[in-house]
Amino acid sequence: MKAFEEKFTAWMDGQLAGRELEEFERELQRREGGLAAAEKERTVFKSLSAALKRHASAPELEFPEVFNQQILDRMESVRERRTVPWRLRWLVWAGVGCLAVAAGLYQTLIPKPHPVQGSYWAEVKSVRVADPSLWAEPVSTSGEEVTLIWIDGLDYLPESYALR
Amino acid sequence: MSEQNQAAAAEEDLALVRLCQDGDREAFNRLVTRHRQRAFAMIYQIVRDEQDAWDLAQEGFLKAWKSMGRFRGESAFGTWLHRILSNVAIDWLRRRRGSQVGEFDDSRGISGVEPGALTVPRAELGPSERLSDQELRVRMDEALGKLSEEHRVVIVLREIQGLEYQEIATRTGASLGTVMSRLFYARKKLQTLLKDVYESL
Repeated sequence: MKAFEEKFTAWMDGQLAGRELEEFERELQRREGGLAAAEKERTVFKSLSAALKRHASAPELEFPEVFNQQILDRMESVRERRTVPWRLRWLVWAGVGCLAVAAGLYQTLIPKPHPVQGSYWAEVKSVRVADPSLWAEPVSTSGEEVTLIWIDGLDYLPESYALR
Repeated sequence: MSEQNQAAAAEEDLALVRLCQDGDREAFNRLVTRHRQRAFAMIYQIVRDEQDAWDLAQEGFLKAWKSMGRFRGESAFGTWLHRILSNVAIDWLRRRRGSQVGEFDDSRGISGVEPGALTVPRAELGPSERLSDQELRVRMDEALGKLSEEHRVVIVLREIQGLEYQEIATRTGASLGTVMSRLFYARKKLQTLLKDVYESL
């Protein structure tokens, strides 16, 4: 259900038709001034609207060339802002490339120290004991290149366990 | 401008748009030159401030330039551009209003209006009482300035730009009913403000 204001606007613009138009004009007839007053208002507003189209003014745009130039300048700054990420991306790739070259040079040109080759035939990696009363720990000293396995709680060492 | 001239101007616009889409900056500069006065005037009629209209017109042109790739020529370039410009102006009003306190009331200051009650003209005036074009222009301008922002927007878009209700609703983000209701009150207000003017028309 349209409000009176909406119907009146549509009626002013000639956009009511058929039954809706008839009903609305009957409604206008019942109002103060009647349909005649509303029709007079419509005629008057049409001439006012035409005058508004003809005479609604705005000041002349002053310094039009400056107006254009400012737009061109803003376009340029937008374009520059758009190109910055490309530059950044280029810089990032250049940085990555430099690092790769440096890593390659390091690998090929810088001599690396050889791992110390000990004269030992066995190396203690870890020590595990199943018996909770036993406790074993490898003890090594860097200076003497010796590793000891410190075992506690062992009554005897089976002969087969002896290092050869 | 005759229909033939309008069609020729639209063709020229389209040719310039194609150049713009290929990255021709000068072509866009020429489009700005062709449309700047109308753009500025339309925005000024909505915002009523020269400096703001200048800034917003520039913003509108810049938006048009950024969106140029999406322009497919389904409507005239001028129509497309004016849609962007009016949206820029309406968004600006909305942002500005966002910081102001108070609800807008369409019927404020014009309550009790009945069709014909305030606006029926008096009898015909003699030629000496008629207003000159210059006076008319000043009075129209003052009257538009006295309308609230919501009322001014719908009057400019409907009466000056000639848009349909639905298009106004889309641009202003209001419902169709609200647009029609605003037009009702805006027209009443305008008739009240310009009563002596249209009596002399």
